[in-house]
Amino acid sequence: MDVEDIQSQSVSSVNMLGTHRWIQKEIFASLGQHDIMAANQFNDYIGRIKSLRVKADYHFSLVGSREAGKAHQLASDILNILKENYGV
Amino acid sequence: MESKAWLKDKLANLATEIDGVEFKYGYDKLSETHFVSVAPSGLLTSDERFNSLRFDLLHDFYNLYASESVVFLPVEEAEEFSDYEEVICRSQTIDSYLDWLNASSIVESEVKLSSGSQESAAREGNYAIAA
Repeated sequence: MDVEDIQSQSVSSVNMLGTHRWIQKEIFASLGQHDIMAANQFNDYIGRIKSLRVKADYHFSLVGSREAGKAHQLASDILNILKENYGV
Repeated sequence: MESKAWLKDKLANLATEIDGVEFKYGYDKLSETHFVSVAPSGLLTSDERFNSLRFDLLHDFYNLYASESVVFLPVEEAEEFSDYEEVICRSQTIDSYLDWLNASSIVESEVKLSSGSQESAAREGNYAIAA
């Protein structure tokens, strides 16, 4: 996928999915081409952290220190997957 | 087909492919996330076939329901993220084992009953019954 593809799909995704969901799908599919286990882990971690983020922003309940710690760990795990697979 | 029904149907199919697996299902409406609790949790990290099949399931799901998410969780951590319905599907192996276990316990109790009858008959000197 080159820059023009990314730009055109990204623009259309704003109307369809939103950029967050679009990039999650793209990374999941990209990882799955060479490491299915990493793709599944990425999917699960990003889904969990998204759920915590929605809870923190929109629920009436508070996110406690335990859940905050969990979110921090999930973010670290996601970054590790991206570093290992894309060298970023 | 509604995404929940689609996913549950696919999970039921997946349970027929993987020995000993048990799934529970939960849904968070606000984040549009489907949670699937998996037992035994080792399947998530060490079973290549299970991971290949669930990757295909996720890939198909996102092609149909792009705005929603599906998250598989080890059973030990599942309660932190959602409430769950009862077990929605488990592999035939577990069902067969539970059937066997139930049948075994019935036979065992019958043997004990029979054995007890023999002992009491012997105590009473009725050796014909005891035999």
